[in-house]
Amino acid sequence: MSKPLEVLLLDDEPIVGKRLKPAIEKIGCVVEVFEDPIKAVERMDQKSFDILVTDIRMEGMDGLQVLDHVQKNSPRTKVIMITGYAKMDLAREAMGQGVFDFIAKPFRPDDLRKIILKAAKALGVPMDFPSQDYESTEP
Amino acid sequence: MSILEKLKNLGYKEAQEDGVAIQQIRLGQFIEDAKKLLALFDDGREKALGEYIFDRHYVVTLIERVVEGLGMMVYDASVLVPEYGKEFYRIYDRQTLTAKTLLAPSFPAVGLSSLELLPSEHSDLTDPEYQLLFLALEWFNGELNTQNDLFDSTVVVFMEQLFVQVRQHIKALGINVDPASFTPGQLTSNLDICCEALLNDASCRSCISIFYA
Repeated sequence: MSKPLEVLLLDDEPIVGKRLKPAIEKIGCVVEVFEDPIKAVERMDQKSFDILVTDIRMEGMDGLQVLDHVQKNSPRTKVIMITGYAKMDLAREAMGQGVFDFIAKPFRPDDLRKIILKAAKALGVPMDFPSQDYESTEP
Repeated sequence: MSILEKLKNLGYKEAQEDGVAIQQIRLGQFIEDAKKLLALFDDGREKALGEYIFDRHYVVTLIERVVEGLGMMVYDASVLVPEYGKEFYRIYDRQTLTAKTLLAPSFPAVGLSSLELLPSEHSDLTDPEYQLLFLALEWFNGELNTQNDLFDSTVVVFMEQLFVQVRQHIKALGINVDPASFTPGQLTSNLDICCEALLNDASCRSCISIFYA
């Protein structure tokens, strides 16, 4: 059995972590949830994650600052940004900084699972679960 | 009739036609605004089914967009029926107050929980975002709960009041209307027919006739 994908989920709205964690665990990932970006960064300094899913707009440290930190300290980590409809300008800026993909709120958990699978493929990490439903539609 | 009289009549007729055209355009806008509001309600209901990940920001934006859309409808209705403008805005102010109450950081008031304000079938809602969304949906088009004084009229009831007044005004203009053809409860179906007509036919006149057909 392959090593499960390690995912750090960061969003200052508790409902997001609460609802997303079980949804991502369903596809075989190990998920750690943080609401405080400072604590999340501290955790990432201790442990390397395959994927970081982070909100773009947070108090204290925004998603772009977290992205910057991850790229300096763990360049292998794929970063997926959660963004609101009104924050597309920030999203474009993040795209220029090498973010793996975006997802705009509100979204279905399945939409994020598809992106995570795409990231797993890019990392070369095989996923042990029925993948047909979650295969990326991209070539 | 002298040439001068003929010219005067012609000018009067043109002014009258301009007035009708303006009213038709405004009515079309009024219906479009109503359609947008109904789409917002549908969007909220879809998110409330539990399949979506959303945050407080989504609910706040939804409520703000409803207030804005309702304001546009009230403006249109006030142009169409100016004598009721003051009353429309008075009710609109109350609706705005409800929105402000829902969005206040201190909401719900001390000693109350959002759950206590919701119908009992939603008693299992634990997330404050879901509670707020369901309260907003109740305000949009729910059953009026007289046990709490959060709101005294839903948005849809107010929209129906606007429609009734606008309809009566259009009728007073002399357009042939069957009074039995439109009741407040028929808002959605009449609106759909009307909006379809708007999409299929650029003429607001045909829209008006279909609306009351």
